[in-house]
Amino acid sequence: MLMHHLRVWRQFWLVAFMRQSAFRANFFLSLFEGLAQVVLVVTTFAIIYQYTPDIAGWTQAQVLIVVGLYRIVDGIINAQVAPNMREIDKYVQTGELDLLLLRPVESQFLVSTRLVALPELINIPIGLALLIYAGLQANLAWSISGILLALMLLLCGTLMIYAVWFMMMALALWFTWSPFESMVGNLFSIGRYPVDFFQRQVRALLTFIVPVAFATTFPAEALLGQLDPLIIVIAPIFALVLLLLSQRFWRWGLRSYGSASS
Amino acid sequence: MMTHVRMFGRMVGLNVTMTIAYRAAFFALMVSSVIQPVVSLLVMLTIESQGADLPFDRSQLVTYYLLLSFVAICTGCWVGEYLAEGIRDGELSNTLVRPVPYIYNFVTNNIGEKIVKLPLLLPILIVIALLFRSELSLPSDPLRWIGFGIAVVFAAATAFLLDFALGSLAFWIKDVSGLFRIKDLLQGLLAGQFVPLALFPPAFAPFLEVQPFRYTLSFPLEVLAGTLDGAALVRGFAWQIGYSVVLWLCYRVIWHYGLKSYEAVGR
Repeated sequence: MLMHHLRVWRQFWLVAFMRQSAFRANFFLSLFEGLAQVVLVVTTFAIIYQYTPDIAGWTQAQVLIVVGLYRIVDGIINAQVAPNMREIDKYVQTGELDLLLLRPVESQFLVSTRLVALPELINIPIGLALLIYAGLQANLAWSISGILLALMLLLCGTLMIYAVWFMMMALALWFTWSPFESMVGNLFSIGRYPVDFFQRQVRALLTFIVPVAFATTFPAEALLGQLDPLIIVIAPIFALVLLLLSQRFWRWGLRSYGSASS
Repeated sequence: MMTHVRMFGRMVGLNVTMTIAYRAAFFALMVSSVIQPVVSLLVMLTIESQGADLPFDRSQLVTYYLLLSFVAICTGCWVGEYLAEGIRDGELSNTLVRPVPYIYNFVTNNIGEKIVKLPLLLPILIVIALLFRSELSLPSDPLRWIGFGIAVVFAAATAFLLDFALGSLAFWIKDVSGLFRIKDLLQGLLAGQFVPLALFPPAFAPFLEVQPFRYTLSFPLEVLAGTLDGAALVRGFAWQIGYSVVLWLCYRVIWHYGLKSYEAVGR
């Protein structure tokens, strides 16, 4: 069953590659956009850091590590998650969901993976380059364990973002649209700031409700060797809980789904 | 002339009705629009509470970012890419035969949506104002509010005409989306969306004063905050009105030559 789904997923990537290699200009557009985002954020922080040597204990170089990590996560999300999430309410509105439900694969898996925006992957090397540069600036002591830990947290954080976003969009099963559709992008972009920049309640919100902390702040702390060990245990458990919750939520929603097709 | 005014009014009404149909979605959009200013405010307040020597105090920061959401909605623009698409796919032909200038479609859509958006934004701003009530102190001088109102109107005109002129380049350039991405990036930084322009290094001040993006968002807020002296105020309004006029002339010139080179795609 798992192998079958993995094979289907690989096919989605192959199809995306075949289709999108016809539109090579989009790749340069994504490259430009990714670089522009970096320039914007780096300039903004350069302006702010004129007035202070650190913000909530984060130096400018350390913050740029978070920005680099955010770019990597943003690349993964924009390539694999966002294109699919943006379609979910449309599947409901047009009745296309009926056809998707008939296919011999898990429906949540299908609506979450079938579209891939390959050019967005360019954000991963852009983020990596910024991360390495910022790490050198911050005199980071690179360690294998720190890198592996950061990678694990980044993966858990990305899965959490997917699960929360998916549940927000699954509301369309009841209401045919999701009030969060226009909000998610702005909410998840808070991930480019370390959560320590915010007051306690906001920090809790960004850790457990809109869990961007796991995707960017905690991996940065892992690289810097400042991570609370408790997070290492919490992250995979919380990711699993959110994924299971999203599955429950989707199945519950499907029961109320009335179909709009003619 | 009167016919034009009447049609203009009707078209605004039509757009209001169309927007109201999607009021729930527009309310969600308004909630979304305040996220980024509130996040920026929280970060700036953290920096301020660490004792950083900012040119703004806490109450000015709260006022700035609260009203930023308001001004951003007042001056918001989404015409450029739609316009470019209309020129590209030939939809322009359908509207060219109508008895009102083509630009009316976009102006009335812009005004109509804002008439619906602003009342939806208001309760959200009130909630935010209540959350920060201990640190919020709006200026009481009525003159400043009048100046603010005028500056907002011209800011909306400047932003709209800039967008419209850029979108009109689609007469010659097939794909203007790259152009708009560059514009959005510059606007994000140079209009004061993330960081007030007053926080930029002093060496940039002369440049910041003459670039157009300041006049689409930051300038009204500066007028209200009272950070400008008399001469700077006069200069600011002169630049702002100047940009509106020049951009309007650009629009006229671009359309004069653009329509001549326009070849409709048949429909």
